[in-house]
Amino acid sequence: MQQKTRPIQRFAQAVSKCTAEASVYGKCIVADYNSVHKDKCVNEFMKLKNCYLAAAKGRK
Amino acid sequence: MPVSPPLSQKIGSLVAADSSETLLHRDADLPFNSELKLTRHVLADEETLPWDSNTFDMVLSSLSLHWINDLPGVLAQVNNILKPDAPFIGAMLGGDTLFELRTSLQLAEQERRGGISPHVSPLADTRDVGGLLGKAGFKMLTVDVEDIVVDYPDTFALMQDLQAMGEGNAVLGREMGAIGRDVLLANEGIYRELHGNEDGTIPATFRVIHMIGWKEGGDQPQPLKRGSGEVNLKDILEGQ
Repeated sequence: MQQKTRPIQRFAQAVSKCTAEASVYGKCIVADYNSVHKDKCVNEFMKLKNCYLAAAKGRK
Repeated sequence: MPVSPPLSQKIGSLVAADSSETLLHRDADLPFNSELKLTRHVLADEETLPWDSNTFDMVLSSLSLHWINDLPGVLAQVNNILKPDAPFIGAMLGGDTLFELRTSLQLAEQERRGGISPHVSPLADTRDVGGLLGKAGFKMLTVDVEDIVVDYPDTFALMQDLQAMGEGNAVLGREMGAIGRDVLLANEGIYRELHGNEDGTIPATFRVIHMIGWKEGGDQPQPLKRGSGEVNLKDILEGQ
């Protein structure tokens, strides 16, 4: 139906390679979700983001 | 089995109205169009219904009322264009619809950007709807709620679905810039952790509020006075 992959689908595909990192980040947030502030889980997020960036690059 | 004619033969005239011309004409090529007298009307403003009082035998609304800003005003107009003792039957998304997405997006924005902004429109609460119908002049109200939980493989599939439903503007209308992408990435992890199913899918709740209200009119039955019942319902239900 769609001629080419939409950006969000490429995004989703790359993120799907990073379930472990996403889970660690999610756990960090949810562990105490009443006191979430900026960059509370920045380390976990950067790992997730690096994984995503690597996965997005690797696909080309 | 008794054979009854198709419902379309019982409809004298049907007026379909929407503010989106594309949506209104989406099915204009399908065979049913020739089987009933159907008029399509593109609304210049979805909050103004351009018909005379006492025009319609029934008004239906399916999952579009949540886009209305002035719900009391529109319901009063619906009441006005109905004939006396005619019903309005509607279904709208309300209450806790997409509460999973709201909560996880809030957390994602709070942690990534240090603040939150609304991405899902505020929706009418179930308990508001009865009051709104009553204020708009409707009688003999029925309000019921149905939760439809849909499982998605991931948050992106959910958001694509919302967009395809025409409900995505608030969430996806923004540029997928660097910041937006970070929040979406964070959201995927949080949503899954906070709400995810054991099988790896994620649930999204759509709360549909069903409503029926009748325009006041003629010898319409009235609700009996409180405490005026003479038969115990328990006797009837357990009697046989």
